[in-house]
Amino acid sequence: MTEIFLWLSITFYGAGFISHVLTRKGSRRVLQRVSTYILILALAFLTIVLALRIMETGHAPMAGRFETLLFFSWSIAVLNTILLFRYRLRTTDTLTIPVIFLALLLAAFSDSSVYRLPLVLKTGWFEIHVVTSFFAYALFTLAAAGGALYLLKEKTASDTELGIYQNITYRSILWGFTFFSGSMLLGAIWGYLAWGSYWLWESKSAASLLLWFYYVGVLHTRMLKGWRGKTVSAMAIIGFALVMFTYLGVSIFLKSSHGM
Amino acid sequence: MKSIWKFFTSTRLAVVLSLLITIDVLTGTLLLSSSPKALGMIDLEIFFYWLFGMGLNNLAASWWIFLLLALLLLFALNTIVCTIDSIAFILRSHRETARTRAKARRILSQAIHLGFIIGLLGHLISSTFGYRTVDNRIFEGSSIPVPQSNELSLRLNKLDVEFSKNDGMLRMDADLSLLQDNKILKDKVVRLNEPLLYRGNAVYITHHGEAPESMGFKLSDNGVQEIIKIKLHERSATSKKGYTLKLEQLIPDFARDSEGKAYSASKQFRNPALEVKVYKGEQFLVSGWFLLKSPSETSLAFNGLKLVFSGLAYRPYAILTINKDPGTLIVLSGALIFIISLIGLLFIKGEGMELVRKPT
Repeated sequence: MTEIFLWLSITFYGAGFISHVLTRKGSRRVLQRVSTYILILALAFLTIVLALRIMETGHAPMAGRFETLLFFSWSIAVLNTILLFRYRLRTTDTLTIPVIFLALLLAAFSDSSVYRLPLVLKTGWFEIHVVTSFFAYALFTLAAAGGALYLLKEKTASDTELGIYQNITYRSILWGFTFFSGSMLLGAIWGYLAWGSYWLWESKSAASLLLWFYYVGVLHTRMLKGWRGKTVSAMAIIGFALVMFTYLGVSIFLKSSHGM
Repeated sequence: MKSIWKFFTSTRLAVVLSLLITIDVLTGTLLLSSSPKALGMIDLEIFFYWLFGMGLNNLAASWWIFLLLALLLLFALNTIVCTIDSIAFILRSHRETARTRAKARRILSQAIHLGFIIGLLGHLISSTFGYRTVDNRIFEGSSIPVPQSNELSLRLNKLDVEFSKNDGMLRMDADLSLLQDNKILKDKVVRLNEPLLYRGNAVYITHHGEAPESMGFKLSDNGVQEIIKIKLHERSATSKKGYTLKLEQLIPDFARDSEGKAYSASKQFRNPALEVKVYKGEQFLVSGWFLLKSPSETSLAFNGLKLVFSGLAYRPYAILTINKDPGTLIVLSGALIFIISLIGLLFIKGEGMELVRKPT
């Protein structure tokens, strides 16, 4: 059942992206509406997948690559929907939908076996630590989308449009940084309660530290006039690469006690 | 002096330092994974003890930590100087008619800096003071002293472990009492994620197990049978027929020399054997060897008395981590100030980034 809804969601995100590209080229209202409905349906299917998985495992979707990729995709999709309904903004879809699509595709080909959650992970501190960190990753992805659009359209778009992209980038980084800092605090509390140390010198924690300092740097560029615009946009894209390194790179290529 | 002050108030310095720290920690992330021998012990000790001990002896793997400390020092100086400068500005301009939003933004930004400095200070304390001990074994019903404390001790009242075939370990509960001069200071059932906390001391359960505590022997004398338990080098209680047993020695790799004398062929437990002496009252009767790997094949017989090894009696134990980290609360308080201020900043409108386009 989970697999059926997962493939439905992947198909609808694929179709949603194609319709979005067609909408961008033309300006037919009907097509715009259809494209929006397709993406809403895709999110609905993805939500069903998550709900089914939670019912199957009995815990928040955070154990293993399959579950975290689902949650990562869902977080970006929810942010997209918020942008759509709150700001009537769909331009970032050009980059966020492919990320969701690829993450779901990777999930579809990942091991979806249900694993026992070790006793030490059965705590609310861990659940909220993971949830906040994935929301942060999703926000950093949105920031990268804003940055990429700024760089792609710098020469053709109006100042107002470019201002929107800069605002998306900066606000997403600020919110993402808040979620990420919160996630690190929650992880620190959990670490202290679980094994007596709020900090561990291991790959995943170190990668989180580098990500945190990177975005500290990016946020400070707001005060440097020469660094805004192009530089901040480029930094947001590099930030997304660092997010991928922290989330997937460390778990796949390095040894870490954090696992996935 | 003024130019040094000005150098440290620079936002450009904050950005450059952040990026340098990022590059340094990126290298460190790779080294942490590839040098487990050199860096694997880092969490088992107080940080600075490790750094100036093992860290200095393994510079090929730990150089980035020294660089990180230097960069963090500069970053902390940069933050402190910036904060002092900004607070002075806020105080100077508090009567000016600056917009409330702008004022709130300035104050919250400095509160974020303050939270970071407090957190860093706490981490410095954590890295210098306190203690960390792992693998403290405590048997059910017995006590162990709390490390680096002359007065405190811990008693394991009961260990309760539950397994399920499908779900693995369901519970690992250690009912502990913290004692001072045999008076209970605190009782707590310690579980995973639920340590015993007392004045900066923290006790965690990490593993559990069972260790052989004593050996059981079936003694039969003219039809009367009974089980007698004994510990190594100790004498058992007197049996119904007046016998006592003593475990004289344990040999890990039992062998006999050309004269038939027992000895251990190696230090490995390949063929462990026990020498048991039998007494009646204070009179020594007989002694013999029992091979633990083939207990059914070895027995001791003497004038109608028969002694057979019946097995080991186990006693449960818990493995505890006992730490004292005086900096934790300060670190967490700093982080909390940091995040609350950051959340405050999120809800101030106009916190966007105005567009700056370079002239073409």
